[in-house]
Amino acid sequence: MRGRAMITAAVALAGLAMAACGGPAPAGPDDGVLTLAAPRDLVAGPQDPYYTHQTLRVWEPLVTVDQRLRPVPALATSWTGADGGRRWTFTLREGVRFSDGTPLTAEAVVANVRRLLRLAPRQSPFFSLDAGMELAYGRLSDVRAEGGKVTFELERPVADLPGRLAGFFSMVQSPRAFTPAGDFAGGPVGTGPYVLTGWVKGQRAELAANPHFHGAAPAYKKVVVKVIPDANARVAALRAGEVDGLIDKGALLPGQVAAVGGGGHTVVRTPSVLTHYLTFNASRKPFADPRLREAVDLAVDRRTIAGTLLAGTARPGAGFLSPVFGDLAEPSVAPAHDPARARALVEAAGRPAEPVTILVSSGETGQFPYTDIAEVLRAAFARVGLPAKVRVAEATKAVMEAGDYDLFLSAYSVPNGDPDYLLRRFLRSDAAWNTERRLGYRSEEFDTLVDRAAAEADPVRRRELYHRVQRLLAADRPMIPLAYQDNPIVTSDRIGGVEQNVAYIVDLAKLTPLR
Amino acid sequence: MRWLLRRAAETVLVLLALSVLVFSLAALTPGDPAEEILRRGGLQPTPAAVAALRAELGLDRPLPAQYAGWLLDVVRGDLGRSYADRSPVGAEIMARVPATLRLAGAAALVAVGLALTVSLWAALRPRGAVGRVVAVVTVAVAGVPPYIVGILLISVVAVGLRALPTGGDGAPEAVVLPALTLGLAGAATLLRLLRADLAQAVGQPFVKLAAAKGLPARRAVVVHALRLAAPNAIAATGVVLADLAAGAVVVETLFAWPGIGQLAVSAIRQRDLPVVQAYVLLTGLATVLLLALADLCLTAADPRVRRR
Amino acid sequence: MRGRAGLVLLALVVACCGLTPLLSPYDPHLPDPARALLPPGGRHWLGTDQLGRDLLTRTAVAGRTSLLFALAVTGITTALGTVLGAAAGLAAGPSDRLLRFAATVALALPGLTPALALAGVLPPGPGAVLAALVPFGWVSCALVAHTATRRVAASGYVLAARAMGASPLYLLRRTVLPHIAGPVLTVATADLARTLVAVTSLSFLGLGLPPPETDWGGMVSEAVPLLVASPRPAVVPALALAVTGLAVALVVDSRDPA
Repeated sequence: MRGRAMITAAVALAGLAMAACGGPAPAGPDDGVLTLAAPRDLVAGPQDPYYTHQTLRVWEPLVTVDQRLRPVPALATSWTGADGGRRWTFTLREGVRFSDGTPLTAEAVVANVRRLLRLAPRQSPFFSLDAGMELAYGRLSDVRAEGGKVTFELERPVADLPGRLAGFFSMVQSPRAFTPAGDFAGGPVGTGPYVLTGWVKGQRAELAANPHFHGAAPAYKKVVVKVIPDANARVAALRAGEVDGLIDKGALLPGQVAAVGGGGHTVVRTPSVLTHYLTFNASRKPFADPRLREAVDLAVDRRTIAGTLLAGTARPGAGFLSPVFGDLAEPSVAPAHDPARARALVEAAGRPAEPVTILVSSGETGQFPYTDIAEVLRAAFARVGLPAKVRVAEATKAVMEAGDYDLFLSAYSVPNGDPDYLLRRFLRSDAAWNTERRLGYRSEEFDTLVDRAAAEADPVRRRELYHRVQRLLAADRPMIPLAYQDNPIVTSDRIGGVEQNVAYIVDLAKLTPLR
Repeated sequence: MRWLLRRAAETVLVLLALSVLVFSLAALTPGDPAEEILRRGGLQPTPAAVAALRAELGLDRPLPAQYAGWLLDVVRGDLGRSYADRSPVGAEIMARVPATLRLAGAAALVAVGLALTVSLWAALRPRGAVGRVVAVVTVAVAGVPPYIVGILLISVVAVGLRALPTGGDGAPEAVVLPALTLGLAGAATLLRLLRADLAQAVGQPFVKLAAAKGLPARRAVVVHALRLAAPNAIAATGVVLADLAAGAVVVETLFAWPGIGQLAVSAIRQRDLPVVQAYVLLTGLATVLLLALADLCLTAADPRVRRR
Repeated sequence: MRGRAGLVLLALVVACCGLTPLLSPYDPHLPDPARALLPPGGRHWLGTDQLGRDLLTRTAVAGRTSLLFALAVTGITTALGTVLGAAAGLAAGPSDRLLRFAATVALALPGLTPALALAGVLPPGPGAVLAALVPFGWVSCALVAHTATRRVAASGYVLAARAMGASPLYLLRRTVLPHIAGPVLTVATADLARTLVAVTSLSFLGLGLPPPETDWGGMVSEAVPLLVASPRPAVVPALALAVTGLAVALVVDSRDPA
């Protein structure tokens, strides 16, 4: 009798133990359904300018970028510039329909451009529409539809309008998707291979093949993209077979890359537009003093950061523009690591009375080992006589606008190969980023050079101007690049056709099940 | 009946006090909410815009009026809008309730199941080595934070044996580790109560009599002793369940479980006051109702309570 | 017996946390990426973490912080609870009912909930940790002190002292406190265990001390992202906290009359 009680208890415990250890074997991917995970929500919702990230392939832009950030056709098959860059005409792909069945017309494209300009300055978790957007595009005087083509008339010449529009800024969706105010009335209605069929904010996005897609139908009829912000949980989900792959910016922490390769998974690592920068608050002491900015530059050991902390998934930073910008990147900028000189500079400039604050966004710590990098920076600064403290904050924007930081460690990326996006948006003397976030960078020389480069039509002279800009930035140091990040993503060996472009967009429509 | 009325009045009073506490969180927050909202919306907070938003949100009214308005909204189910993206807080929380309930439910099963099994086992053989080991383990688990138990479970089961996912809410078996982590703590509390009660109950003359009359020991314990120990266990279960709901915060964070707790932690990091307020209010409400329910069950099981 | 084992264990932990930083040649906060994730060996007894910091030294320093914070919070709440509880017990009447009501409200916010709410609105730092844990921490101690005081207050010698016109302060100090010290100490030990859990939980959630200061919860949370690749930096502080928790729980258990 006692025995039976024991048995009952034992069975109960064993059941629990089995539940804990065994569990059903992880199911293989359903035929036709692909499950992926990303560290952030790739859907931003009806108030967002785009509703979804480009990588979900719900909508397509007029122009997109290739592996070297050069503009290549998407919905526009070709384009021509005239009048020294004052008029640009885009020819549209034929036979394209939106997912609601209506055809893509030049008028629809015009409506989209007008909407984006009207929405500015609207924030987006992807690429915000800045107040300076229209200015950046050369002051649009008119955009019109003519015989199936779209023509942009600009007040100022722009050498590479297609390059500037590439990606998010030339998104096209059905005009019927928008309310008069410019928000989305319902879901997104694009021309891409997929349509958004379900979205649970912060948790998952569900895609289904678009029956009206103009290209070859994708191999996976359904795609689920889960949001798993926690780096550890992402890898766990991958190993458990719960997801077939991890995509998007920061899909894998550098320290995890070695651990997930093999065992049925393949890591694809490609250079990306993502660069880690250290931004100075030069609007107040101590970094208003250029000697101390130089001291920081010399104290930072970029090789250790790239090689050890980022586990070799990044290359040490040098010029302001990363090598993915091709020949626009200035190769002659070569920062030194010289703690002794840094210490001398600190002594000459005078030790700051209070420790400097290194600000890190908690959102980015799930994508990159920023708390670790900040710790190493703190120690390196302390060694040259510059005591520092680390602050991890969720709302870094508010902290910066309050001027309550000295250094900001963060990663920036660009939607396309337009250097003007970074330079004008972040560092021009009147840039919102520069003024509101208290960067305190004021340089007439820089402003003039950036304006000239943006309007320069001759590619050689343009390149030379951008090189000069970068040499100037290397001397002024409003922001210093720490490392150029590769973006490692990982997928199951059962998936073929995995390619990632430099803007970490994986073409979901090209993925195919193997075997 | 009068007892019931008094209990109900007391519950309402506690809820009111709770609502005052939650409302006053806003007063502790540095800065102006209107300015905060504008900033996060990407707009420069000009004095005019701030004043307009303050009027819209009713922040220009005296505090008691603000509180009354807020309470009325809450009672109607309107928990305000999130600072971060202006979405309704109520909907956001409701979307996450099922995940938390699933986790808490599974954890409660683990806690109650484990506590019952082990305590019966121990009561049947009061001097056995197993009983002593269980007693020590119970004490140990009670002193260790759940997330530490979770880390150790992840290291052994998920990383070492690669048997289960370390987090997320995808596969059905993903609930096992978080539920085990959360349930163990609850089981420890329950067990301590049940253990003492059962030991006491087994020693009672009528249980001994029943056993002497030839009733099998198992039945003697289960029928008589368990009924005797039940009132305390019911009261304890109420407390333990409330603890589970509260403890879910840490466990959800560790296991990346998409429940209310995870939402609350991210809201706290973002200083998203309306979400934090809603979380505290909801936890308080659930706890008060749970405790009241436990009280009710207790009265049904043991009429003596009513006379106290 | 178990209580003594707990005390010995606790003494060991305290000694480790107190002495290691003094004896160790390593700086607990100074990263040395070249020595990252070394396995345990002669120079680093427990190996190094992902930034090449000695894990033993770091765990000990973090432990010191955890224990000090838990002690500080418990000290404040115990003092506050004892005084409030004893005062309410002596005064009886409405203050009595007020205390009971406060306890019921506190019961409605279980576990970390009130601390989370406060940590969510206060600016981060050591002060916030204290402010988050004190306002609701004193209640259990006050209840125990209250009950014990009521029992003492009904006894002959307190009645006698009162009849002789002793001031309330005198009563509190000379007659009540000595008699309620036992139960208060018991509840204080239990509170210490709870506070240790709460303090480290807040740090684990990233709401505790800002870096480089860290406690066991903070160390665990720092190392969790790399748990799959290298569990040691998370497991070592986790075990340290588990052992401490066990020690305190053993002491609590031995004092518990149930």
